[in-house]
Amino acid sequence: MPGWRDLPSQSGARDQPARLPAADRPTPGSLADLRRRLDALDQGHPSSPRAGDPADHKQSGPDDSGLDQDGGPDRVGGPRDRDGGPQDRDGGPQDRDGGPQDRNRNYWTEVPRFEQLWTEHVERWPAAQPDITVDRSRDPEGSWRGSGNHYLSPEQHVRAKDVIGSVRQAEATISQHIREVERDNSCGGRLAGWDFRLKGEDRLKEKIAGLAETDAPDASAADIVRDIPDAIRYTFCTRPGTYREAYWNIKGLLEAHGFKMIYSQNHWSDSQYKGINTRWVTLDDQRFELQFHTPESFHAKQRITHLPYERTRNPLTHDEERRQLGVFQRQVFSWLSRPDNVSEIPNHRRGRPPDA
Amino acid sequence: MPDKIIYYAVVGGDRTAETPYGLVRRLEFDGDGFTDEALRKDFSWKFTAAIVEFERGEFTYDLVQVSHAQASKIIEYFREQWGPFGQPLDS
Repeated sequence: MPGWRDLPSQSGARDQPARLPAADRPTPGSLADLRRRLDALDQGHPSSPRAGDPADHKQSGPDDSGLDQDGGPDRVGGPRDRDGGPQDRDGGPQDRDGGPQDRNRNYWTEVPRFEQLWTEHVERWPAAQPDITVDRSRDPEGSWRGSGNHYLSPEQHVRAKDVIGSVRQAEATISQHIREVERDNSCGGRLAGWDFRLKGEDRLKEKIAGLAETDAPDASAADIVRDIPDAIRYTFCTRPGTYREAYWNIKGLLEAHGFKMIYSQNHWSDSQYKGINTRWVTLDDQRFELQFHTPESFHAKQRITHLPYERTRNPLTHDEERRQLGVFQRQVFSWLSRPDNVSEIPNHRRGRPPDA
Repeated sequence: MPDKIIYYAVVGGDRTAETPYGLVRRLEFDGDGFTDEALRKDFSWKFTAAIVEFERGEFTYDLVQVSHAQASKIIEYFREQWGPFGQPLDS
């Protein structure tokens, strides 16, 4: 079982799928290599020994069967039980693409297969080349237009720059508190992804522009820049056996430091992602996000499914590829060990904090 | 033509599914994947990553699934807010 050293480094690990160590692979071109590659293919893959007509595909297991099965988009965004916990049960059999005979298989043994599947996916679906012409010649002074053609009006841009400036100012103090929480927590919670705690300036502007243009057009610029939760993001990782205790312990420590939780979403019953995402506000009304992961779920999020997720978000991605990406991500997350009693951690929403 | 369309209201703060910040939808094509769209202020639909981001806990606001009838009411609500023909977009 990998230990903490196997977590993405806090000092420079990029969001790239880890490469498979050569020693773990059969000799390239050997029968063993061919068998492994074929066995690793999705059941619907045309080269898979299990590939048949579409009806065969429909009858396959939950994780190979596409989005029309349990866990598909119908669950996304369904009426949320704002204060209740996830509806599923702890400890039930996980839907995996392996069978019960595969007792020696776990998330970490499957990582090379996931990487191989991704390599084959990229071969089948080369990245679409953006054909975007960014013309700033007619944009008013003070506006912003990003490389993806997202646009901020001068007023929106001023607000965006203000929030970016305040984030940069607040981050050092918040980070100091977070480090103290890491030191003081009693459940072995460790920070991960430290180098990525600040969202890049252009990415933040893109996010604000996306909300204003398409996703939340009836929100004011002030609403949007205030509500952006993840301009500062931290991640705590704990082992599945102490995950639940760590959540409450770290939450209590953060509250003792004066932070208030305004949002918590338990994603452990979801199929496309697993973890708990929480949002916090400081006494100065600065928001930040804190994610709770296990080493497995953080690795799955950061190293295995980050690029597939980015492709899914890309407007140039073909609809069919988007479906395949959903199948892949669901497959990866289905292999995670579920933290003990994690469904007992409820979702939480809090009203807006009083304006300062 | 999509085989199924699912609508979601974008809610947060004091905004509810009756008075949302926005409206997004997923168009499902049987066996051929899906695409997601959001309603813009000029009442056109444009690709959005909001639903995918929400699935991953990355979206700023909450999404609440609404019926087609509720979606129609939301569009009428936006017509009251933005004018019958919407508003021209800056971009």
